[in-house]
Amino acid sequence: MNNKEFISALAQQEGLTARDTQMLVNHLVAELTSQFESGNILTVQNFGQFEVKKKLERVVVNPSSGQRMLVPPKLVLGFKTSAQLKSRLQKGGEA
Amino acid sequence: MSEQKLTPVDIASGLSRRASVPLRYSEDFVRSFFRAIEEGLVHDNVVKVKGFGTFKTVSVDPRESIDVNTGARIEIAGHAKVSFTPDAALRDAVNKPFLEFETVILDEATDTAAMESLDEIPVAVVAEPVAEKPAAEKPVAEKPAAEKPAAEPAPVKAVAEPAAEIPAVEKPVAEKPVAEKPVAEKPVVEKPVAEKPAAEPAPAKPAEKKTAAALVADKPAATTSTTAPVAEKKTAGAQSGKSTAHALCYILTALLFMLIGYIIAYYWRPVELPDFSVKESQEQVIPAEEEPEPETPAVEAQPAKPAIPAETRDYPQVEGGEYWIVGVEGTEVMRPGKTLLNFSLQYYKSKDFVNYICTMNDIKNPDIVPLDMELKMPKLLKKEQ
Repeated sequence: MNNKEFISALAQQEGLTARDTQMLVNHLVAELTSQFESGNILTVQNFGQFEVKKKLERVVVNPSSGQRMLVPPKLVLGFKTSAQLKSRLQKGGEA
Repeated sequence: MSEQKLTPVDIASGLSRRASVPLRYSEDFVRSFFRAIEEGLVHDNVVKVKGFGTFKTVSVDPRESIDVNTGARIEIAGHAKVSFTPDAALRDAVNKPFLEFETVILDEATDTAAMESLDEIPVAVVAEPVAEKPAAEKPVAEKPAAEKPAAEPAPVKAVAEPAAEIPAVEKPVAEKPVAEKPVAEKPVVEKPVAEKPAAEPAPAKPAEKKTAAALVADKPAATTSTTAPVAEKKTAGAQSGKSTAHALCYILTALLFMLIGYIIAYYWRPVELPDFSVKESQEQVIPAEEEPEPETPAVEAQPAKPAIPAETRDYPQVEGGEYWIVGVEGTEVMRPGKTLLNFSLQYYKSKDFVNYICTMNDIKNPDIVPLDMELKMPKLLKKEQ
């Protein structure tokens, strides 16, 4: 499901035009981005939890050349699936 | 970073502010946004949302494991996981504080043990969210320091006893003065240079000197500004401030010396003034013939060359030659069989003047002269010795 299909599905659900939906999604994504930028955690019931995690710097080794590289520390957005969504996926869409 | 736990309602209020839609409506929209992703995942296994990221379901095969308590073999059933990959824009926005860091290729000789000992400090500090950033930056900043003393036993020891960690951390501080030393010395080295033009001044010189002094003054200022961030980066400790102050003192002292030299030179000037006023008139002419080292030979050359023909300025001159080029004797065209040596013999009855012909016609290599080239034969005037 690519972005276009997603937007049209959401538009159908909401009874909006695809353009309005895309605009609202853009605003929503901007809002989410600014929230994650300030390190906030978003928990969505029955869906999952978005959290910005800190990764420390680490040394990685290129297995073919044996070259060692220092990867800088970074902040990454992680997603943890909720138990309900997991079980729903397992059952193949029922419930 | 104040970490807050948010719910879709918080997001919805933000959305209603951004898109200027009623709160109730935006709440509904946020809920259906996530429901749509869920539906997409269930039916399609992958959902892409532009600007946000990609959700994918990953199926995990059933596998065998051992119950750690009973030791019995159990089977972990196959299940589905959801993986989320943020879009590049979102990823970069979240990672903004660390965006400027890049992966560094490490040297063969780098001792990772020394680095790990340094890691202990950031790990301890990471616990408190306010100090997060400097703590995380620290390892990267200290890395060059850690690479250098790799051969030394001190950092290795640091792993064993945490008390020995302090010298390891202080390393950059100890190194920094060494790195700054050339910077601190620089103005001192430059001082004689600045004084030199001051020692042989001409009526117009003081102004130049001033700019030279200003330039020199600018330089240490620039170096301090560059060293300052380095100092800040390397250690946030108090020692860094101390050594920066030391470096500043060095530079200030050097500046003071320069100022004294300048003042001394200024007061000496009137005594030698008549001498220099003569020299200045020549100095205007000399740079035309003698481009390199225009200042030093000016002093010795002064009695040696009392009269330089005015025409010399119009023509290129041979460096260190016995003759001035003062005009054009005649023109010749390069033909097959002719050589510069021929012309030299023809015009000056000597083969020693090829050099002058080359200079006159801007020929770089006397062995390569294009055919049909028009050559100007220089008119020569012997220099008075």
